Amino acid sequence: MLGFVIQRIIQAVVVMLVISVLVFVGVYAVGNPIDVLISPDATQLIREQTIRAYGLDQPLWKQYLDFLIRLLHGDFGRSFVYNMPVLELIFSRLPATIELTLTAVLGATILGVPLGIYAGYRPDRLLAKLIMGLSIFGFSVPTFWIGLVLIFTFAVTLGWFPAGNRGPTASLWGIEWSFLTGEGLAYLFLPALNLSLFKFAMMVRLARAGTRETMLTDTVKFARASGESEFTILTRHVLRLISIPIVTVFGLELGSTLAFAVVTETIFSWPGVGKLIIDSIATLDRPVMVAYLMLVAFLFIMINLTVDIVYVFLDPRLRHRRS
Amino acid sequence: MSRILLEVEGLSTHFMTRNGVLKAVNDVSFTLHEGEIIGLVGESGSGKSVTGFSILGLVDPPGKIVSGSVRLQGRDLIGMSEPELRTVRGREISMVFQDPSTTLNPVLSIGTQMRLALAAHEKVSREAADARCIDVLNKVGIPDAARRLDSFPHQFSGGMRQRVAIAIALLNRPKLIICDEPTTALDVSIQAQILLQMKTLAQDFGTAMIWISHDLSTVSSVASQLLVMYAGRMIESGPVRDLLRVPNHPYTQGLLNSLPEHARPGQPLVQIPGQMPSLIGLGAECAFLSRCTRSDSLCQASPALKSSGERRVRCHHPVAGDWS
Amino acid sequence: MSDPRQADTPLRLFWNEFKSSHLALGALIAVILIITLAVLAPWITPQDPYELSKLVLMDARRPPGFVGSGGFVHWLGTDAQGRDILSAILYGLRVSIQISLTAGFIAFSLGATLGAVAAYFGGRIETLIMRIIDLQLSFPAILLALVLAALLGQGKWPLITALVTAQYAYFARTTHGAAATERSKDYIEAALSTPLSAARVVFRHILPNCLPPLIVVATVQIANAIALEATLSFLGLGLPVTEPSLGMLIANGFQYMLSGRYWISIYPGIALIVLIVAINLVGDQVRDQLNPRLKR
Repeated sequence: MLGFVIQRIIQAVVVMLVISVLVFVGVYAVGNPIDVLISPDATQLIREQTIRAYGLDQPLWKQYLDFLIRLLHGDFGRSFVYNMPVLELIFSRLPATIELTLTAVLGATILGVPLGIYAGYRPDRLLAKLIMGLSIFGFSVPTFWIGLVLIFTFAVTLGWFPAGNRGPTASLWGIEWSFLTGEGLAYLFLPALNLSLFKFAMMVRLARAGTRETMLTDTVKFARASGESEFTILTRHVLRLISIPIVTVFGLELGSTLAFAVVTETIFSWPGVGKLIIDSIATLDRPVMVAYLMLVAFLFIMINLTVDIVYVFLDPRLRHRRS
Repeated sequence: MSRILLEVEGLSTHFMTRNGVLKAVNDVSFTLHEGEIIGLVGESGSGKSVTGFSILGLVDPPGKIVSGSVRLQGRDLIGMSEPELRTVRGREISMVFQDPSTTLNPVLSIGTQMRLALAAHEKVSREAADARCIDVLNKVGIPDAARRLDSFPHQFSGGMRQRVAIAIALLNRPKLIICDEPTTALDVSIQAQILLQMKTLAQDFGTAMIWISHDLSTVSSVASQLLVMYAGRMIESGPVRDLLRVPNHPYTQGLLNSLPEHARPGQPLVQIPGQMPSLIGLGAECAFLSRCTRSDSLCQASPALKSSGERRVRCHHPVAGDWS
Repeated sequence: MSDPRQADTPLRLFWNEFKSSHLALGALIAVILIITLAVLAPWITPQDPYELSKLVLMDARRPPGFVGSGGFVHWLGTDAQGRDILSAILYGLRVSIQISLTAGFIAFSLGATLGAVAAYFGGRIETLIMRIIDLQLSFPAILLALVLAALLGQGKWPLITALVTAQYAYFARTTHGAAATERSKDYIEAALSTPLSAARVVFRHILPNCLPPLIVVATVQIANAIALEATLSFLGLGLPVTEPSLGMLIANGFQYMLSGRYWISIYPGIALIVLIVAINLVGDQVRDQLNPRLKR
């Protein structure tokens, strides 16, 4: 078990290195960064000073090495636009995104898995077809459009929820959270709903597909032949059997939801890192782009690592093969 | 003879498929006494497994029991509500399946699975439940049962896994166990062991069994009565020794002749020519007609079941016996 | 019902099963209809929405049913430039379908080839290719596309590049999975022991057997490409404003939605959704039919 974890950590470090090269090449080597760093009408002297200050006169590999060393020291540079350390900037925005993402993914799972199991258990019932219809809808409709419709319906027309921004927050552990205030919850509701619809659809489909396949297996037939109730079969046998793919997807989706938050945050003006990256892309604020990409990559790798470890607990077959 | 346990009468189970009605089980009747072991023989697709599932009311859609009755000590199981049936399954009639690697839940410990099967019928304390499980596991020949309750199915060998499945089937001391080819997926050496052990267990517990198999020689070593199925119909039945010595139906005769032990050195194995007809759109003729060497114009009509003593046969031209 | 044992080809049986799902059949008809309308757009729309000189500002932001200075009814209203929404939708569909089909085709070819090569050669090549693919798949496609689109700038080919990069890995993994299974089967060994060239074995024997799962992935990915393209365009990272795709139309209408002029955003959105939902419904049915684990 320990050997497995160490092996995975080494793998993660290698992957992070590869990603740092890709990000460096992608963000710094494509195009001329100097054009972004200084205004076009700067004097030649300022231009050369800046080039030297940023090490842009060095060979590419040397630039990368410097870049890597700075990263390892936690120095991601300063944002051109906000004129503050990038790391500080990102960490000030991160709680808003994490709160939104977690709410969306948890909500989608808690609702999606039971509904999906039902839809897989009784695929011919009207309710099952309704659930599947909703899930195909949620799966197909682009997040941004759902966001627009939600704003139009619930904010503009009905006026039940605010159309955007984060609203009031309360402090816990030194971090500001929306869910601690009633009004903050109202602000959180529409963006979270928007972001969760796709995940909800995914969970429904996953749970339904798993349940449909599992219900046809001999395991279920044998449990039925032993007189176990359908409820026991669904909650003890089926849920455990389908939990493995669900946990995988839950983990992966946690990461991709962070990415998808970009769209939702843009529409609802939610002040998270997603909105920050879109603004940074628009203004070509490269240090922010680099830090964001490295951060998302890091989160992804951590999530994958956690999923792999949880796997081992869920699937006894893996547990014994590894020990 | 002891008292009657199970009476199956005119049982028909059909599958309403896209391409038409598939008559998987067609008018099957037989009687089973307490503690008796009956062998249900036929090739794949003959309806023997569906018969087993029909008795328990476990036919998955699009399958449906369309007629007949299954009386367990006088109570008809067909038409019983699901909750009522659930009290029968596992407690009065239980089932062992072919492949233990697919029947046991791979992600639950065998202790958990046994406790679930027990809790389906009785409220017992954890300690009492464990004691029961260990007791049954010991009986089916699993060494060190107390320690193995926390083990998972993949930690057992194929034969041991099947013993666990048998233990679960025995857990509530049912009156009848339906065994659907329980040894087919196992190594030959283990097959014989399990076969013998099940026979002994059935005697010890006084449990009746329906042993479903495509393998005549396996069945004949456990069962006292044989039932031969072909294309969803029961075509011949009788006491094992009788039936094996003097088969009456041409199909049974063909089956017996094709057994390797009947082969003569240097001669090719005998086989029945042709194959079983599709169960969809079966005509009025005898289902064995196309493969039969004894057929004539009479066989255009499906033969009725004739009986004589303990023997029954569904054929216009039986190979042997007195069927006037 | 006629005799079911008639020599039915697998394709015919497949079609019969598909047909029996009215939902999937309806969806298929919808997809064909939408594509036909989009292809025919220049001949059937009352207005060329890209011809900026023909747009009349007086007609701008009019509700559905308005008769504009062109003398025809704007059935779905007009946008901020006085563009007929219905015409813009059909032209936008054209752009969206064109881009996602091109991207889908390239991603399919690239991915299937990579996957088949990995499965065929095995060893180091396989490990290398599949490691890269797995690494990429663990990263959200939208983020990759976002960064690429931002770096490459606006335009048709940068957008297609972004879409291909985001999608080829799915095809590669699917092909690899199916091909690796095929590769281990005896008939491939048999084919390899004949003087057939390796390429012939890959293209004539291995790839055709990977087609069913690939078709399923392709339908899903085409639908995803359409959605992704619209999302990128919505975020301002897709096509230039002069050639509005559906996403761009929706984005342009967003600001007017808050003042109640819903039609500028809503109708292009509905067109987009009908297309994606229809493709996904077809894909779902095909997937269910091809899933051996749901067969008894």
